[in-house]
Amino acid sequence: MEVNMSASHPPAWEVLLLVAHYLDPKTLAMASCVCKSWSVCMSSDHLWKPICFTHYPSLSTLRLLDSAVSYHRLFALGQSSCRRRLRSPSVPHISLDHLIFTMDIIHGDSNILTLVKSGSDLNNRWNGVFRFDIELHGGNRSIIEMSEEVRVTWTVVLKGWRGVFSMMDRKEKGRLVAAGERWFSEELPSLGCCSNAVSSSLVAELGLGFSYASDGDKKRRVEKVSMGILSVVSWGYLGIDDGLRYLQHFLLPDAV
Amino acid sequence: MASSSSSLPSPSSSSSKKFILRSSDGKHFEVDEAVALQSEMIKQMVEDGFGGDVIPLLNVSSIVLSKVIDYCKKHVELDFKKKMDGDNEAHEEIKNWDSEYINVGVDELYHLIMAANYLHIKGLLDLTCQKVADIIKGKQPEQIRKIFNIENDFTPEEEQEIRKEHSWAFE
Repeated sequence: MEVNMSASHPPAWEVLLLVAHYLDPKTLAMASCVCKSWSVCMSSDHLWKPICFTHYPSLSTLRLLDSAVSYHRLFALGQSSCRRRLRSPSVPHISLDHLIFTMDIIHGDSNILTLVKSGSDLNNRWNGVFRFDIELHGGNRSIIEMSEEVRVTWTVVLKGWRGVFSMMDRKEKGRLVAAGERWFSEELPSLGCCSNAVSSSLVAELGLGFSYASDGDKKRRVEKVSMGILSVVSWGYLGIDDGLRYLQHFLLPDAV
Repeated sequence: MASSSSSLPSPSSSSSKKFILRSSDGKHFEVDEAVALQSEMIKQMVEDGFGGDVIPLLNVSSIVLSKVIDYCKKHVELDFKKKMDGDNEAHEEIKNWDSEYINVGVDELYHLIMAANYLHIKGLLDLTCQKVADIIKGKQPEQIRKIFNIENDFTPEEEQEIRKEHSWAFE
């Protein structure tokens, strides 16, 4: 039998009070948002006190300390306290588009390579992780003497000159890795919270890829620059959003 | 009513005492004592020594009262059957009968809830309130308003505030 489920008039107050006792917490909360009279009816301590004491006995006793807080509010707090543990981190306030990467390689007094790259031009072939490769045009004059120390700097600038952060400033030969690349690393500062976490466990990584320059083995031409933030806990690059969340702490000190 | 046990003593056997219930619109319903006593309110009246022939039920219309009496009759019958045949079979039959009985529109449910509450018929109150609760369950506020013909009297700010307060239920 098909029954017309819609009512011709709203339920009387008495009906509402009676039915409210048959609703589960979630339905009570939903029904509170229907209209003003439902909100009053569905929020009463009379209904919520037993629910609250069943689900969150210790939290419910807080009511004894502060009678201004209602039981349905306490229940909502209990609910959100569980959910907060599962909450994913906030969306970063900055995006790659807001950033400019600058780097220099200096040998003695002479500047071997100066690179300025807008975040929006960085190609991310590394599938969502904070590592970027920049190919240099062939025929550039960035020749490095492989046996010599060089100074390598990498700075991140927030567009509009709102913030600048030094990722790396090192003078060394770098580590030679397979394929003849040289890599430079510098530990990044911790975020300053969680005092037992002494280090950030993050490292700025900068790699140089070469081709042979004309005059023999000792000199190489820089063909590729790679930059990334590496986590030494998981031994992997950070995700882009994690990288941005880290950087925003230093670039937007007021926003965090 | 258990005076004669030769033939199956149906609850409506002529030997039992009768009550006359008068609805708010003045109609009379003759019912067996067992049926009338399904109502805790009537039971209390009788225990308190109510001596009249007709029990006036000022809050229940004849349409609703006849539906309530259907419920009470059936449950007296099924309770009796339960005693005779054992629990399981009767339990199933009660469940099926109840779900068919309660398959009515929302307006009628309101009236049954009011009557069940006034007459103190616990089983009927549970059945009807649970039915309304089941209708509300799992619905968004907009859907609830539509079903129950309720006007949203929140201002947009108030609505935003109250939804925020109960945001955990919407997640």
